[in-house]
Amino acid sequence: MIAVLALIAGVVLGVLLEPTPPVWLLPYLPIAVVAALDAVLGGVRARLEGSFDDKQFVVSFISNVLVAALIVFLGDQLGVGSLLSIGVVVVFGVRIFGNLAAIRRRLFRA
Amino acid sequence: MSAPAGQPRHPAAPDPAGRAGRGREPHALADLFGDLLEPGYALAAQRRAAPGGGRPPPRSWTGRAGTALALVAVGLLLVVAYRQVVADEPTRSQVRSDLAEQIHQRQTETEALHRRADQLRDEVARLRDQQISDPQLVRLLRELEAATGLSRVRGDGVVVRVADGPAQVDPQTGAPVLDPQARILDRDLQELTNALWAAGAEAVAINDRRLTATSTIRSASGAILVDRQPVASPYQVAAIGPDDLRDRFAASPAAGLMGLLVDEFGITYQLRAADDLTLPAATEPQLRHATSAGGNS
Repeated sequence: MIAVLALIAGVVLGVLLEPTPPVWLLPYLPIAVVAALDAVLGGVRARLEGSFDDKQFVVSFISNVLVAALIVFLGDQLGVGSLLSIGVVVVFGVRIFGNLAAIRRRLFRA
Repeated sequence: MSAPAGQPRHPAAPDPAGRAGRGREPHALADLFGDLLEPGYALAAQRRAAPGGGRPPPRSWTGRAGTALALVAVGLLLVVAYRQVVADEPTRSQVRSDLAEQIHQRQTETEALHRRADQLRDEVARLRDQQISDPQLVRLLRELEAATGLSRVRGDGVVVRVADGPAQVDPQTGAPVLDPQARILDRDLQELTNALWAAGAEAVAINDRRLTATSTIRSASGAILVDRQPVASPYQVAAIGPDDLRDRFAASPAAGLMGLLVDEFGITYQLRAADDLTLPAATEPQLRHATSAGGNS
């Protein structure tokens, strides 16, 4: 309940404050979104399976976003452009699908 | 609950917390990466369950606050990313329209310069005619100019009108998309003009751009350039020639090709005889390296 409220509060804050991210941050945004989605879905799944843990969630969220950003940064520095980002998106995409499948199995027993 | 005997557990899905694979059907994506839940969650659950074995201890307030904060950050992130994507679009179209404006401006400049060149050319011709006393010579010069495309010419002939096929509406973006095969190519215009010359045309112009012996018709990334000037669909190819120009052109392979393109891809193709056409003068070719080899003919 609190979690849903916090998520809504974040969205409302974003709409009201209209923060403009600095230009150097822009390439990391899409990757950060995918990483955050993975952490959130992992949390939801853990919650449904009754094993949710606050510390685990916060740590996984921060580390996901940081590692994803680091990989994008590394890709930029190595000159392979967005190739490493594609890797990040694929890995997180697979994880998101897997977690969604688990949530679906929990909710609908199917 | 454990897996029933005789049905081996999937080897790619180890279960660190000892949870059984309840109703676990083989799932291609999930199996690729094994169990996707962070093992940390299971470990934390084990830790909590280990002492006592009763109800897990209540969640600490700092933990709840941390989770709430992280979720606020997620919401913020989503909104910022969404706004960024939406904000990118106007910038892109802004750059595009700026470029288009510059191109139009340069095109107007070029046209103004062309007009000025035409005026000066007329003036040069007038002054030269004044200097040359022999009317015979003046007439010869005029005829040569007309033949080489350096002066305006009038006469009867044909007008061939071709245009790109109909555009389809893209189901995703709603923007009209032209089938590349329904597009008139530089090759089509080349075939047309070659057939016109072959049918006896003495002067040819595409969209009021006169063709000379050094004219080029080529394409540059989708646009057709006639003498390095872009021309756009619909294309009007006007030609002055003998009375049977229309019939001779209609019998040419190029006309057959156009008919085929109309049937296959729905391009527009019209051929009509036209009286009293006026074709403009071509821009003067600047001969930098070739010089007259003499001979007065």
